[in-house]
Amino acid sequence: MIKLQRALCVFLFIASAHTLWGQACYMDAPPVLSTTIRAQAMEIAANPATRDGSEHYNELILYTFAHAVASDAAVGKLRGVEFAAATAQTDKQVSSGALSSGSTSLLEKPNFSNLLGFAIEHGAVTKTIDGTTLKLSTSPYAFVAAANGDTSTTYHDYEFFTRLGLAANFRINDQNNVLASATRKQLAQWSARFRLTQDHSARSSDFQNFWNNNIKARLEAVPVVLTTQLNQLFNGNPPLEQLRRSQETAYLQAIKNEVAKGSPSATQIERVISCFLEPIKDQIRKGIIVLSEGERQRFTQQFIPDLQQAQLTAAEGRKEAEDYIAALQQRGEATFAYTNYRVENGSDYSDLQMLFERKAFLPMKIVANAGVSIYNKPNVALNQQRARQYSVALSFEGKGGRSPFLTNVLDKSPITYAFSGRYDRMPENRHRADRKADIAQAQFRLEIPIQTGLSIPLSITYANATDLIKEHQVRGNFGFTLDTDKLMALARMLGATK
Amino acid sequence: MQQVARAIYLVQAGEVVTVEIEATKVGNFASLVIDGTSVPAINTAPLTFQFPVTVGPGQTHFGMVQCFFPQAAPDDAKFQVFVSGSAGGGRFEGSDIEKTDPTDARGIEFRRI
Repeated sequence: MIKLQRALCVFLFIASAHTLWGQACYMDAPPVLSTTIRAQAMEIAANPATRDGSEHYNELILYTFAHAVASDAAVGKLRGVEFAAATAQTDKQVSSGALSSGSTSLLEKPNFSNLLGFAIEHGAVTKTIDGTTLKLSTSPYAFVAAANGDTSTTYHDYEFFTRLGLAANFRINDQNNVLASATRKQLAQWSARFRLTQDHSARSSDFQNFWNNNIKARLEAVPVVLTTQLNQLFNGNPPLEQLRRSQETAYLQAIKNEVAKGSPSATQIERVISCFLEPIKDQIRKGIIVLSEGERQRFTQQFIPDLQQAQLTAAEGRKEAEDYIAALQQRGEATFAYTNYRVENGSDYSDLQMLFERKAFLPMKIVANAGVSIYNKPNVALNQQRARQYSVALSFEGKGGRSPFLTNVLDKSPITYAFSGRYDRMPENRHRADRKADIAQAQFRLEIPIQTGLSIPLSITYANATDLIKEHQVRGNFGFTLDTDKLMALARMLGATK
Repeated sequence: MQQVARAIYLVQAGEVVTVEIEATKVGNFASLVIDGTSVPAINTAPLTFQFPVTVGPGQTHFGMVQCFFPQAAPDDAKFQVFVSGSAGGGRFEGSDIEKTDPTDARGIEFRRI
């Protein structure tokens, strides 16, 4: 007992001295330890209200003990925390719809799960402004999620409601108060979409079952090894357990003191933790903290090899899970879409479309639309019939490598491209000298991320005519697309890594 | 049960500990391991685990919550951990686990009084 108290005093003195002098500590920590220290510090810095350092304390203690008793080479084989972030989603249609005048896309995508994500993030209804158009979108699920929280339970109980999406576009007449334009008079179009195929998302019951049956046990491999070692080491050695607890109290207090200084950076917290752990390693090596030969051997002959194997098992499990999700999403998605257009100084019409998307051949996927437009009240004087337009469109879309213009290494956004063709048959244009009834378009589209959350979509389109002019034309479009999700994700990560 | 820190709890002999893990914007991809053994879930809405305190005085049940965030999950997806005991004391909130965190696991310990 006296020995333990003396060890604690020595330890506290060394830790305090390091912290006071502001020195960097534990410079020779192995990757598994240094990255876990860094991760713990980042997690506290990101949200000190819900993290206090107790989350990874036992892991840190085990890695410190392992480093103290085993060779650098042995502990160095253990994998560290991988700091990576994915901001590579490309199937979010954040630009205006295919038929908007400024659109760089000939097709509409059937997957509106991201739209749903927007709706939930901002409440039950999502507001977007595209030039002079206000777009409000929602789904029945968005209302349920807004009321109950978008938890796994809510999703399981109301997954069917994710199939339906609703949107309305309004002509903005007051840029200073855009929501005032959400009136029947300003309504330009409204639409409903219904997904016909099953849920193929990462939240589907299909993937949940796969995770339960094939992945869960593999991801548990690391916690099994860690908690087995903690149980055997500390519950089998009461003085050591007493020391672990007293050290934990001091460790939490040191972090609390740092946090109390106000908005600590991850680097500051990292220094506190590493300065706390290094003396423990030193005291084990000097024999001040006593480990039996059996305890030392269990580290070198059981814990480290088992943990190394468990880390491999978990990594394979994660990869298999992602592969399964990718395979699920390649199964294809079909959606029925109805859009009602309210035309100023013209005839209102409805558009019914089938939208289909699935993988074609690597790295391409195919998106297909087929639809018919019908006039609600055809104007015979304008040669209008019930059928306004028949259309089919086909697109092959692919991803290139990471954009070379991105300066942030965390951003993996790729260049995307699409080759598209579209054919429209407009019966009302028949027998008119100034119009063409059969309109064909071909387009190449390229979207280049230039900064995180900001990309430039470029397109060049050839058309043999437009619905108003019987002349072929080549049209170029470019613009800027701002993805606030990516910007926010990056801001969070950068904030935590300061 | 008493909460000492986000991941440290004081428990009594024979007390039944309940750990609930609530997933938001992600599936029920979480599990609980105590002293090297996976604890089976007794409920999925929310995901709920239970185990009895069996260690002696001065000893600890060492646990770990392991989560998984698919890359397709939104960046604000998260798991929240809630802990309670059959001997009373309340329902405590543990450390949350967010997709943007560097790690997807949390240690949790139950110290026998």
